[in-house]
Amino acid sequence: MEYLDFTAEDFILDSSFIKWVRNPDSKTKAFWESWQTAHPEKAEEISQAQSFLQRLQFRQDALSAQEQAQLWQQITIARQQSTVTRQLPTPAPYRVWLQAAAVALLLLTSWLIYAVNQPPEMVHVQTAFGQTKSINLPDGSVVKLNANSKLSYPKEWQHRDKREVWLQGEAYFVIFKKPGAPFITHTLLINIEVTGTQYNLKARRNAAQVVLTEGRIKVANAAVPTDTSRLRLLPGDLAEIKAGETVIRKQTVDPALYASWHQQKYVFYKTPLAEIARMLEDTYGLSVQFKDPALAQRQLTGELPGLNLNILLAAIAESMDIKVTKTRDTVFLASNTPE
Amino acid sequence: MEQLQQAHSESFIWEEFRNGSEAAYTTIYNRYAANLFNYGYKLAHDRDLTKDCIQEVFVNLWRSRENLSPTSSIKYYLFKALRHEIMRKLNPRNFTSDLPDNYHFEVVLSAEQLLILDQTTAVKHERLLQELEKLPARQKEAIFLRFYDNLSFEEIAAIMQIEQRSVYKMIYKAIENLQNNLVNIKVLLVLLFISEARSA
Repeated sequence: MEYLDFTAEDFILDSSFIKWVRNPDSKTKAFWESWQTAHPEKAEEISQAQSFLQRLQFRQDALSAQEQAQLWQQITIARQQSTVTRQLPTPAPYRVWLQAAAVALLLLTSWLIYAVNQPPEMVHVQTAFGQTKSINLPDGSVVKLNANSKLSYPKEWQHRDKREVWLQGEAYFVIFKKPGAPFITHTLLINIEVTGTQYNLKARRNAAQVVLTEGRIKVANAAVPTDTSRLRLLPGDLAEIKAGETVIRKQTVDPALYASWHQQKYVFYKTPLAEIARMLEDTYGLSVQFKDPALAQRQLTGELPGLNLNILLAAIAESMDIKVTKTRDTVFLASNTPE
Repeated sequence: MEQLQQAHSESFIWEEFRNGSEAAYTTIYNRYAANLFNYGYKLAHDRDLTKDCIQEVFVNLWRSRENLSPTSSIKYYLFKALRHEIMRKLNPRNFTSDLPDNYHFEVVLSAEQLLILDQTTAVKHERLLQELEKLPARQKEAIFLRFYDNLSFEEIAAIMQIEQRSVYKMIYKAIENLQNNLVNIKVLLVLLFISEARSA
């Protein structure tokens, strides 16, 4: 049925119309405003439906911010209690295969359902541990995807006024400048909006962190993406937030410390080994073990080559004067001096 | 397109959550806690009971994350779970078959809206308010879900555990009651089916 045949009641019941009247976004606003101008003969029906919906304002039964935070704490506690009591027994080897097969089947089915339900065709680029990739986006922007990361974007950017991508993991963005066409990067915790600039974005371990190298960006909490929650960053600013926090924190840093990985090197300044260990785990899929726990606190300053894992480990060993041994999937760090 | 993007981002969050992401879990809570409370309170009429039920929904959600199926509407999923939980608490003995005796859905029109209205609209508003109070609880709940939370007829049917056809009828009935100058009643019912079938 065409909108031209709509009565006032039809408009009242139309999802897009309701959205426009009650909480319009740019899309519905543009559509209905131009539709209205193009069809003055429906003005009567539209204004009737509009006034009906406007009058139908339900009372808001609100949860105060404090109540919402308290409730969240209770949920967190209740959830932890329930996980502790549900420790699973170690499965026998044959069961592992059975479980793996069941999971594979489930994943396949879920994927099929998921794929069928996906309206826009998306391109997904994923990197393995220890692998980086350079991606050229349809608008001329370049994304250097760090290891163990995933970038998704629509195959075609039909909407020339908006460019959107989704990131899990870490990437360095060089955004092609296009006035009037903001480039938005979504992560679970924050959204970044820019027009043309360079920045490093990391969304790992239930935290999100962005460091701006060039230009200007706006960072919004993904949970409350309103205008007032947006934080403006200048070059050298770092903004980060952890899951469960409500406020994005900002500080000034040397961007090279965060964004050099895409130039095949790592720059450290008083960086604790514990943090370097996390980086090795995230980008190379290794487990890092400290034979001597005090080592984790020791700091490293310097520029190390990042082209090859073995060279990087050797460089860490040499500059810290420690012993680094690597098995297939674990790295052991130990003091060089005999105790 | 914007709606599609939104839908993708919802299913993206859901997928992440099913894979065990705490960040996705937090996002879901932050995004929907207020909405859930606003809806749940209208059913439960008790702040603490509503909060308990929301807690229950979220703890269960976390526990069963590995067994969840994909969804493109998290809100719908949560609303359904919350209603189920509230009904269970309100009517512990027999919550599956019938609505509890004390089921009523409390919607009150917001008063601040009146301030900007002129005299004639204020009168109209007052009448709408009276009419709304008179509606059966189910109709109130259905129009709330439709107009306040913009859920689809299909979703409302699943949440309220009734036939989709009944939802059309109910919402239509409610509008008919509220809007005195309704026309083309029979035509509308037919058109509703067509438009919903087309958009499905």
